[in-house]
Amino acid sequence: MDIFAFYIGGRHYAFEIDKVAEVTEPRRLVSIPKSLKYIKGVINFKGMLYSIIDTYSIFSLEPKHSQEHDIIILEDENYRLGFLSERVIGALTIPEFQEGIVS
Amino acid sequence: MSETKYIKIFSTEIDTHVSTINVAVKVLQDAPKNLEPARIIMKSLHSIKGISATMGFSCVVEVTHLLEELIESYSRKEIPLTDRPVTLIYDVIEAIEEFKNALPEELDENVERVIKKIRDGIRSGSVEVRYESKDIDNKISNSVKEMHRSIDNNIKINVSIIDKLIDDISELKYTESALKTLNEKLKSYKLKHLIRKIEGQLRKLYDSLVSLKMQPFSTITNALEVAISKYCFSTGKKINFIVNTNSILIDSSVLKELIAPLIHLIRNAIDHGIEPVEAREEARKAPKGNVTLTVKKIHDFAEITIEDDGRGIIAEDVIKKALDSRFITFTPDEIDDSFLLYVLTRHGFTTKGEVSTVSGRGIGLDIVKSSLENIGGSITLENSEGRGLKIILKVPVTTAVIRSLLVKTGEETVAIPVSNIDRIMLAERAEFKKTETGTYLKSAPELEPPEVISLCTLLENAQDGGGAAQGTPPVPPVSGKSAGEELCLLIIKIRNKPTAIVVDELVAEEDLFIKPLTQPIKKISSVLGYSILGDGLPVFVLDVNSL
Repeated sequence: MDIFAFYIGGRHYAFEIDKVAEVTEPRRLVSIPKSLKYIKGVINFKGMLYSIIDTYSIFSLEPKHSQEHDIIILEDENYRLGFLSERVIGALTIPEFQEGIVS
Repeated sequence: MSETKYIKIFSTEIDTHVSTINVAVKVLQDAPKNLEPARIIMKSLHSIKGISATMGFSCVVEVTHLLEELIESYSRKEIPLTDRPVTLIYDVIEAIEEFKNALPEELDENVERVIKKIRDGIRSGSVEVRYESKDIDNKISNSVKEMHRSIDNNIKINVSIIDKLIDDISELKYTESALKTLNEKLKSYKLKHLIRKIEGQLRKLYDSLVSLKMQPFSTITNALEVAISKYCFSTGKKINFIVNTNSILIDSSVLKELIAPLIHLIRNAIDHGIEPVEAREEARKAPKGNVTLTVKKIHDFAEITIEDDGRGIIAEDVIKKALDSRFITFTPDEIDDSFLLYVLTRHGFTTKGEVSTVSGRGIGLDIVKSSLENIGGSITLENSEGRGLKIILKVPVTTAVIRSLLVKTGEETVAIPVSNIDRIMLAERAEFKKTETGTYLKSAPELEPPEVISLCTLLENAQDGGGAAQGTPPVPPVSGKSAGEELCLLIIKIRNKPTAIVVDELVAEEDLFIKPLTQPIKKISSVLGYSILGDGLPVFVLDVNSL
């Protein structure tokens, strides 16, 4: 299967590739009043609002604040999301479905 | 329908075709060998003929038909239209216009004169006009059909298209504010003037687009009345359902969102509010209950009141039930309407033990509340036990532009609707008074001293799973300012309590195009929506009453 892999907090993660729309360079996040901890903020990406998920928070990783993060954009008809990533690895083909894949 | 209306339609149709013909003739004069203008002229003549036939103006039909024949005979022989026929075309057009302008007075005389003129003109034409009568019927019926197609100036547009256009305007609006930001550096007077002009025009364009989306409130009340009377019939309840709406126009998207909440609230009133006849008689009420729906327009909001003269809400029962089922864990000293509303709108709360066919299925006021908040509305209630319940919904007449104050705390900018702000003031820390319950402003014209809260405290993220309802947050007023410094305070009523919000900086006042939030942050209650500023950054517009 084809996956889109990235690196954060000392570990590798991946999305199913057809969920990933784009990757954007680091950009300024605007935080959401009274929001939940795992949502880091929002960005204006191509005129639309994307909620940025704090990848550290959902995977209980040690956050690295000094670093600028690329944002992996995922979208479908209901959601517009971005995930923080320290380093984007890119498209990979792996032999079969393995555990630990988060979609 | 009046005849003048049709004449008006006729006139505008004629104008359109006449101007088309005029253009075509001009083209023809520049390029006589071009056959296209002749075709266009024919088509327009055909249309004129058609519409005239429907109107019963046989003289115009005749004239245009003859001219059509003439031009056709030219084209058939591939002879370019030159001086002679062109003059005739001009004559005919002039005649038709004269005819049109003469409507509806002095019809006959003028027409006769005109027809004569044209007939003479055509007879003396150098090309013999052949009249093929068998085609005529066909042609006329075709042209009538075509006319019917073109006569309907009313078109149906899906609201989403208008929304898309409004979105486009808001994009333009962002560009405009970007220009404004740019000009703060350039300080060009000319540019400033132009930006103002754009601003005005965008506003106009926006307003007319929004007005396209407006529908009278009665669009849904008629359907509601039918639904309610059917419902009463099937349940055997006897009530008067009274609707008072003036001709209030409201955004169709808002209207759509109102249907479900209104049905819910009205059925609640009928099911739970209005007592059975015996109980009503005992309470010395008329046997037939009254449920009244009133709609009023207050500034940019529609205030919708649903009032019944039933038993009202027995607050004690509600609170007991809520405590029993652990929807709440404490009660304030005084149980007022706003606390009652708070309990009733807790997620999943229902007052009914048994389930009636329609209301009381556990889908309670919480759904009503959240669907109202989705469209920037709010709900309040006025309960009088034993005498009835009044529920007041406030919804914006349009979803749209909100004049807002941009304020900064730390690095974050948020927008607060100007209509929420009572006043803005400067105060030193010495003017605050600390008590056990919080920090208050010592001297203020408000009856209650405003509580001082810093904006950054208000915006702090909710703890995991915890609601904001528990306990008062401590109030460390403002970050990093020395004691003597003046602080900027916005005096705002939050749930009717005056509050002084400390902000670091007032940035600007702007008309913001508000867009609704989408998943996964759709449910954030403290935010009305978002807007994109001139620098491309999103900004959240706070819903002050949910802070």
